Amino acid sequence: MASKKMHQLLVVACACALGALALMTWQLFNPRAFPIIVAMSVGQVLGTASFAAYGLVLLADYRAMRRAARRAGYRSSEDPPPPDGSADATGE
Amino acid sequence: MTFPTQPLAILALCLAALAAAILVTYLVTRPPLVRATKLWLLLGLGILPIGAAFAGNVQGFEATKEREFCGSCHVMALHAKDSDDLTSNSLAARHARNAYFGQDNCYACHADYGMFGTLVTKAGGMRHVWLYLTEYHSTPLDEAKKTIRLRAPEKMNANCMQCHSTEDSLWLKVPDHRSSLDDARAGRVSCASAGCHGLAHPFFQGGG
Repeated sequence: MASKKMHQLLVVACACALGALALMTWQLFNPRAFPIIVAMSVGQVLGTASFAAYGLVLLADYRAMRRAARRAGYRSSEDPPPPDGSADATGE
Repeated sequence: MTFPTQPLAILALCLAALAAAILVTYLVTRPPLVRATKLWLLLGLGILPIGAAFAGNVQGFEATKEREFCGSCHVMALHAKDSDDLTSNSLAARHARNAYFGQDNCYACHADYGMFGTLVTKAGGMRHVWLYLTEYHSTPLDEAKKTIRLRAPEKMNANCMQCHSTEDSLWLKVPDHRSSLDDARAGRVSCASAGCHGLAHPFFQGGG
């Protein structure tokens, strides 16, 4: 359901998350000032951005699915009634 | 670079490895975005990295209390080296040999205390980072050891008194303690002065 752009965004998000994980683990192997500061700033920003991108993709996918469902609903309401003339209780 | 052995660090590494495995699998196979893929990505981009970040940050904050961390800026190297020296008689080195907090002796003596002590100390640490990046990064060690000063030397006695309360009867039996009690409590006389317990660091210049 997701468009090509959304797939590309997910790929970028995965790459960013891998970078964030690398920075976060670097501070564990080398607990000095620079790695810790980088992990707690750049690492956090990259990780948060990648999770936000994932949320954006999910939202876009959900909206696309709803749009598609609505379109399918319109199409079915435009269809002619069955030949025996029967309709359900709501009249749809 | 050493392999971390602390439980939190190992937990962070395991969570990060699992997340990385999921992400690499996604990048290699590029599956369609169906419900199962979304759930795997929720793990790989959300739950596992958040867990790794949480455990890693707690471990990182603990690491910032250690002398190895403080000594990783070159201008602090001499202070850290003095604390590592088992034969040194400086006040810092003697505290470094304490079995309870010896590895964290920089933090134990320089940290602010109280409810928000850790936060205040970490915020102060960011000032140190800023000063290091803007002023001291390329300062030669010989020059740095002459120019680095305590920002608020009058507050140092308060930190000493977190452990040495000045209320203990044995402490009050020392004549010099009794005679300078008010001045020591008010920070007018430094515990770490040449006439009392000696300079905290052999290179310390004193003053503000």
